[in-house]
Amino acid sequence: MQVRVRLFARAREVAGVGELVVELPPRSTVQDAFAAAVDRAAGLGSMRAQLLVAVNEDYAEWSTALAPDDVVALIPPVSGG
Amino acid sequence: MSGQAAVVDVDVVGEAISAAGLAAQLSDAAAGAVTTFEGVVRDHHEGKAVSRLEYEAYEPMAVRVLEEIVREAVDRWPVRGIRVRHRVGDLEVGDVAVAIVVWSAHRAEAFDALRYVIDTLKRRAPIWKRETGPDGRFWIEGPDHVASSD
Repeated sequence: MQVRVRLFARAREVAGVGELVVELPPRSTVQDAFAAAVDRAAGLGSMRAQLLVAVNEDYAEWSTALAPDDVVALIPPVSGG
Repeated sequence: MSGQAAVVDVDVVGEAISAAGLAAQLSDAAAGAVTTFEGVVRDHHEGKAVSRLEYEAYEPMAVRVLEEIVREAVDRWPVRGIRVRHRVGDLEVGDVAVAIVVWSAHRAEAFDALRYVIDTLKRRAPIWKRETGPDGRFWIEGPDHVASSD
């Protein structure tokens, strides 16, 4: 299945793109989508401990299961306000 | 309280914002207290000079999270309404980055709800800033400054 991985702030800068489309086996998780993104943009790997993740615009867990066409977001520590 | 639902109005915008602008839209004869807050770009951050800030948001999610936070506040305190605007794009020193207005019958709940909204927004909304100053550009990640490579 295909999943979109959206990248923001420093994660976008490190990857050099704002979005990656990754191909994953059925029953993949957010962690699997992240691993596929790291395969394409290795610099993301070292950010893992700082990132939060969202699926379809809701905060999620690394273990959250994905469905086809889900949108995963990698969210560096936020600094709004 | 009249029992009518509190006003919940949030957005992320690219244009200039102000608390006065948000408060000017109110007309609520039952509001005895109107509290406002503006988060303003200042010229320093943790000892470093700052000349400008760029704000970036994951916009649809940021609006959803702001709305969630405001709904939590109106569930917890008997306020009559809360409006929030967060700006994105290039801001200079003195520009307003976030504007909030809370109105209620009495002041205590307006102050408490306002404090909750700004404190929670800063921890939870998917919005980021990058600082530019004489030492270069830095992503602000919680307590950390991380050099920007572009």
